[in-house]
Amino acid sequence: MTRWRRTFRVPFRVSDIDHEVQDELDFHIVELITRLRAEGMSPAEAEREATSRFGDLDRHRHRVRRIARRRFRTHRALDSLRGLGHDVRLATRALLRRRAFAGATVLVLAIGIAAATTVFSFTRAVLLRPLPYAEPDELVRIEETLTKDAPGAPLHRNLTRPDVERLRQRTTRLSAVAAFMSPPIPYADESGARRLPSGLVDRHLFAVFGVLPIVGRGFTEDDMQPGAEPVVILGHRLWVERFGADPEAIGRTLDLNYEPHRIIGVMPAGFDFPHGAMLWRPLRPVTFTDRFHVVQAVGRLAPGATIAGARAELTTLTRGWAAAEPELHEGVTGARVRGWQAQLVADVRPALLVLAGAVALLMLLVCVNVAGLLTSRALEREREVALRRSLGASPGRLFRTVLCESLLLSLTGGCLGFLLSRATLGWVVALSPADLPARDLVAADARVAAFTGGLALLIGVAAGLLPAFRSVGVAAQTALKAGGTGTVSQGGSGARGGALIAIEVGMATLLVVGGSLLLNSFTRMLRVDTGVERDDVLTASITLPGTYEDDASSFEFFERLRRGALALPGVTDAVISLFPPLSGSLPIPGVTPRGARSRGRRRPGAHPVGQPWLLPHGGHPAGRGSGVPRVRRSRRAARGDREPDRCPSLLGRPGPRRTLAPGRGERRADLQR
Amino acid sequence: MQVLPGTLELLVLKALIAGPKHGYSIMGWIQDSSGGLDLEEGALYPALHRMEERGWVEAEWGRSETNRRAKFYRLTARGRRQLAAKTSEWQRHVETIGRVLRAT
Repeated sequence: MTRWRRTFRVPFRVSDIDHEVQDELDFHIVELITRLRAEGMSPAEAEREATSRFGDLDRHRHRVRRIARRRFRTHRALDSLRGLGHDVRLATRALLRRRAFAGATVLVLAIGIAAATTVFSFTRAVLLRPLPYAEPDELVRIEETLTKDAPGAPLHRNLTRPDVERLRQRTTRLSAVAAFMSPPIPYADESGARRLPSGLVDRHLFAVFGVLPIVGRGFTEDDMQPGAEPVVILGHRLWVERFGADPEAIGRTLDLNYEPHRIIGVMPAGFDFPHGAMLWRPLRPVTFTDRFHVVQAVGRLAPGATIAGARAELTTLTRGWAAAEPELHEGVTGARVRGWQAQLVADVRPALLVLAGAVALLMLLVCVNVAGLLTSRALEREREVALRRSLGASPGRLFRTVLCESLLLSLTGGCLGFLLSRATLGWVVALSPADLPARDLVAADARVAAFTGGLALLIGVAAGLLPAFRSVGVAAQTALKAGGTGTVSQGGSGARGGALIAIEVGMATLLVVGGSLLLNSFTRMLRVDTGVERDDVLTASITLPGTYEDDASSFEFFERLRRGALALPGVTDAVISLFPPLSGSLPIPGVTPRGARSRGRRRPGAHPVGQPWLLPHGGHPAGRGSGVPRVRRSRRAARGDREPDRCPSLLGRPGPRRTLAPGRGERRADLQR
Repeated sequence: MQVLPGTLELLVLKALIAGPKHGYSIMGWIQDSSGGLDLEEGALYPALHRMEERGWVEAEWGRSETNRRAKFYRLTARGRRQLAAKTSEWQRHVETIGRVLRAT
């Protein structure tokens, strides 16, 4: 029996291989000894001679075993791959027989995975993608922090140009600091007029980002002088579009805002700081930049410096000049330093994370669902499993079959989900807020596909494990009982099935509750009542070229524009303002009733100023069209309201009304900045 | 005479051209036809297993002439091609070296 098995058995374990090698070498030595003895040697002599001729037995055996084992393992791996192919075919056939089951499961998976994929596409583009600049982690934004005394006032604001200048001279924690603004600039060529995103920058900006013009030169100290020749540095795209990438463009002029600007340089492709700028002009000292807190500051951390360290240093510096120039820096308490990337996405980060959390829960729910479907299917086919078991299918094999089905479902769902997400992504991006950072970069690319694939695999395994274990357990049990009568016992497995279902229902309930709570938080984040009716309101932003030199001609233009808009069919109201409600404000810290005295740091009755409306109109001082509701008491705006000495104001509630207008009706209040 | 490194495989391939043999008879055939080689007989086995791994030979357990259990090796189609290639390579090698040695 042993001999028979030794002769014909296919090697099954590594130890079998070792035995075979031993047998093979033994045979050689035995044959050798036999022959030597036949030639007349004594047994001892023959053995000695054989051993010597064979050489180092241990070494040869070791080498042979290593080779044989390697070969055996390769074979086994190939065999199991072939087995896997068989399992996949088996699972495919089984699923095709149950099209309704398979279709429902794949659909659930596809929708869930599509949702996860879409959210991941956003999260990746917005939160995970590094800024396209060298060492983006070192870039920081610098702002002033203000005292909390003025209710509703911004707690942080930009700097003045001289502040940034001083900061650059004194700081040790930042290797470079630059000041910039990003006003769009009117530009006209043969194709029409448009506004180009532009940067008004000081001469240090390019150094902060470590980029140099590829043609021509950067800004010099002379370019920054007031009254110097207007110059411009082109972005790569504008250079290619307008000048066909001609290096001779340097020295030519470009008309911006009806004024010729001499072209002095071209930046490399891909550089578009700030905010997609297509050209850069020097930030020259004027009252606006030097007296108002309108200049943004970007810095690069010095080697070894941390954001916290920079914040501490800049706070000390800021307090220093706040004390020296109290009238310009009233209420300044320090500096805020944030990573550039972090501050870009600060507004959307919580919302995206909540959404990602909700989707993770949704994925768990999908998992539980699919596991439930698979389990119910496993219950249905206990008989088939028992039959396969009694025909000799190993538990591992059965386990693999169930897992295969689960993976097949999840991967099909994953593919469909990815395609679904890809097909709808453009639509979802269009629905997302226009000011979402990196909105243009949201794409279903290779990494997103990899994420989807990984997710589908994970779901396949997670959802398949429980039913797979179950099928193994059932098989062992029923295989025994099925021997006699062929009936399938439901006794033991029924009780366990009940427990399983209870667990699944419990988990599902938990997940539904958790998921809906998260989604609820998310929608509440989206639906903060701003008191502004935004429906049916269209906005357009217009920059007048420099040819409108004074207020009167600008007012004249806007009034004409407003009347024109009102005349359009379907327009019920039109209004002109500096900013649409709740978007942007002038950096005016607040107003105080004239005569109110400062007591210490706190100024009683200092109130932040909202958006100044240029052309108030009708019963709604801001115009019905602006969506500002609930004006308690008002009168029609009149032409004379625009005169400088007469500035009608609308009071917010309730603080300012108490201080400024305790009674009813119109009243005069002297306000001061 | 010693076997040059790398030529043992060529000799084994040649030994198997006439039909399947077990390791002991392969070694016997090589010794007989060479008229005596200085070779550790055990070194044959790593070579045989490597050749099996490369698919030059196939192995099967069977009965030896002495009625013992032995592992028989048989040349595969790939092994035959290998024999042809190695043989001509060896001959070229010998001729080239020979030309150099004969040069005056």
